[in-house]
Amino acid sequence: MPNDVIEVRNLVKQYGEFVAVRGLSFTVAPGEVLGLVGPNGAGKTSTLHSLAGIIRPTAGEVRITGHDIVSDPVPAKRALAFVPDEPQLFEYMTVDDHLTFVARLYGVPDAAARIEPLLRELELADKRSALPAELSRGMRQKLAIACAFLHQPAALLLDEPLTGLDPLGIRRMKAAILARAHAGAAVILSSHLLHLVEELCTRILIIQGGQCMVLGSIAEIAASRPDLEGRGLEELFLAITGQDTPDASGAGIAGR
Amino acid sequence: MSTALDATRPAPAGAASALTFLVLRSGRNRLRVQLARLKNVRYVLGMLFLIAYYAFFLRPDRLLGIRRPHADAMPSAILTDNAVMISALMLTVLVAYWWTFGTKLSAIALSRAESRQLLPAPLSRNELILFKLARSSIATLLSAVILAIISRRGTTVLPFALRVISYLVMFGTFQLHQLGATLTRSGGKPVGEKLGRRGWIIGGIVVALIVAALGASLVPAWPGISGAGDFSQGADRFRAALSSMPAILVIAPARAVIAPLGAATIGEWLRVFPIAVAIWLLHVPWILLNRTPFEEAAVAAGERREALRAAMRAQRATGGRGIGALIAARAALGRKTWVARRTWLPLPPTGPAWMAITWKNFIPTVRQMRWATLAFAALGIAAIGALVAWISYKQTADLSQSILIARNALAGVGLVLAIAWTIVGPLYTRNDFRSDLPYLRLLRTFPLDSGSLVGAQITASTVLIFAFQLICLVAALLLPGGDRVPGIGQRIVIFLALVLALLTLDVLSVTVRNAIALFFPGWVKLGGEGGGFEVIGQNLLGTAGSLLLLVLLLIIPVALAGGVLYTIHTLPTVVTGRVAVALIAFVAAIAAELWFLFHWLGTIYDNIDAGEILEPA
Repeated sequence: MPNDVIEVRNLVKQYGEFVAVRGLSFTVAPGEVLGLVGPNGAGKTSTLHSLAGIIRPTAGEVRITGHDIVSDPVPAKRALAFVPDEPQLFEYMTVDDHLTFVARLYGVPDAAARIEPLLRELELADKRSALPAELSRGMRQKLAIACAFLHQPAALLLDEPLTGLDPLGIRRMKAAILARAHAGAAVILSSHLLHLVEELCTRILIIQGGQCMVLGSIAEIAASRPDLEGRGLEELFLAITGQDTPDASGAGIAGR
Repeated sequence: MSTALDATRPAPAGAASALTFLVLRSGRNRLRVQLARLKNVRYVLGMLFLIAYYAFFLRPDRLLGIRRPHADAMPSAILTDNAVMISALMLTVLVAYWWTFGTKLSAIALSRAESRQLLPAPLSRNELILFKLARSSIATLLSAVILAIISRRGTTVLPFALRVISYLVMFGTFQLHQLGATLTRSGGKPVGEKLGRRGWIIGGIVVALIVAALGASLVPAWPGISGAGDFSQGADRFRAALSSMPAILVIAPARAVIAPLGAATIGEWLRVFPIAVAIWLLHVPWILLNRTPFEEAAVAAGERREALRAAMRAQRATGGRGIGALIAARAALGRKTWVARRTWLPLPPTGPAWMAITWKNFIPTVRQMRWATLAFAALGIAAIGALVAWISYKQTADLSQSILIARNALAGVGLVLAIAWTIVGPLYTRNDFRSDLPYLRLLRTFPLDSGSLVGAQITASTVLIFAFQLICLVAALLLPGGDRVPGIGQRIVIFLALVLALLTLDVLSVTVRNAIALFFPGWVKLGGEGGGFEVIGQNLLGTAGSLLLLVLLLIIPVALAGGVLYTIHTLPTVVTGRVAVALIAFVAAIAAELWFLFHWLGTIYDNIDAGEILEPA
């Protein structure tokens, strides 16, 4: 078994009295796509931000390619890329500028050779001189993803990466994410679009109240709950998080 | 934080009450959030420092028993007659700039939330304008109060309330005039769009009228002004010239607005204040009756395209009427409002990572730089030089001597500008953490150690500030001539000393401002511009606070340099050699301070709670 790229042990994140993440532990190996799902306020964003080095964990350990994100942040961050749910772009930098900037920041040796195919892959080739204000929401999301892909990170953290993309864009983005995983990246994908998580992810981590409710492949999760055998991820998710009330299925509304 | 409208209460009547609710509730909640920061020890210490600083700054007599300046002086006006006239002249020049180049309209700009929620809402254009003016008036009021408190030190005859409303009317008029000028210049086109010939014609006419009126009064009076026995007499003659026809025609409105601050008695204030109010009020129908759509500029300040989309959705939802329809129609035309230019400062794809951050922070300035503005400034400087030379020639009839006088005058201006920019530059050059902290979540993912990141941020602003100073210093080095100025050798020594000193002060000054932003990200204005007239009071206090910290930081380097100079003063070396050694000690001490500061600020940066900072909206 290859060495794990992402290692999380007993991760705790606390904001004052409020505990957002409670002792989360998991690993992600190269080529693996881990789906991080949970209801609103479950602690997904806090977990991803802790992994990306944006916020400091209150307790526990996060290692990216063996480097501790707190005590050894620079090599850890050099090995990862984080795509937030809302793309954060610099308003006075063009598409080209953003990619050159990232290449310089991460020390990408053959930036020019990588940028061209990346722009084509993400359909940004004819927008390379555009500023973020001139791009649609979907295009901005693609640019954020292009920046994340450019330095070929070993760990890819994606928070709702498909938001704002059109159907063709979603299809291409799914292929792009899978291509990175097949190339050896460890991917964590957080999304509320459960059918996409089901389609892309090799394992699922369902969290609620900052705690791990279940971790494993869909088959493994289903095996642990014989009453849910043969159900899809959506029904598994609702059952595990205790949200499988009649109203949640829509029957309550339909019956009114 | 915000509380929903109470469902048990009657619904608010109309847009005005909803917008009032938005302004008041946002203000109240903002204040609560700011005060809630006091749970953090860092903010408590900051607040205590602030109170002690203000107490010392405003009432040193009570705090330390130090007598306030002019404490025994007779009560007088805040501004003297000459100061009122000079201020009016400067304001008139500023107005000419607004009419030629427009303004950024920071007071009228809509945030993304406002553009998404208010533009599609059933609000008239005037309601939106009044909402934004009311909103920016809160900051204006705060500035007026701060300035009213500060101007008390001059033992003015005006009571506090009259000082506040004098400042309020003055700033309010400036604000409205900026808006009115920009709306009028645009002539029906959305504000912010390229105006082409129209903008230049209007600007040209306004500038020509102002220059002609001022020139017609000042040129004949110049021999008397330049031949005055002392500065005070010269200033009096200058004021008299500006008070004569036709200069007074263009100066009068600005002077009337400033005049309440020059009132020496309550009676005089009562006489001039109604005129200032009348000028203020005259702006209101001018703006409200102007049919120019301003929304494009407002949206551009937030997120233009997002807002256009919201407006298009609103158009579909409302059947294509109102402001939403107007903006949607423009969006449907696919009009390109911004053309990204290739920068003349490309970033090599390989090299130190921190330099990428510095480069990124340069780009906004490079992209916003208008060559026309630079050309205008260069022409203006050349015109001033030519004017000085011409006036001198009229007096001396010696062309080479006149040119020499003009060169020396311009060199003097360059020197003053270079030194003054050390104080003003760090206030307005915000290409550092003050603009970048809203992107904290993104910055934190970058593979850079925090000390390097701090250094990169500070370098960007420092280099920009210093670039301007260097141009001014080079002018001050090369332009002078004649027997009365030092020779080129001495000038080079002075030039190098100033380069070193100003660069050092720039780094320290920018570091201090970034330190304040890093320590108190929840209190400091982050992102975008430094603000306009509405935040002049806050900026003034912020600058004074930064200068105080700057002085504290200079204590050790100056003491060290002084100590070195004292120790080696008996050595048999030339003076310049001893000064050079002291200078090296000074720079080494500054460098050591900076090294410590960068790493310390890096630790502060690492520990900032991302929740303290509002992300770009």
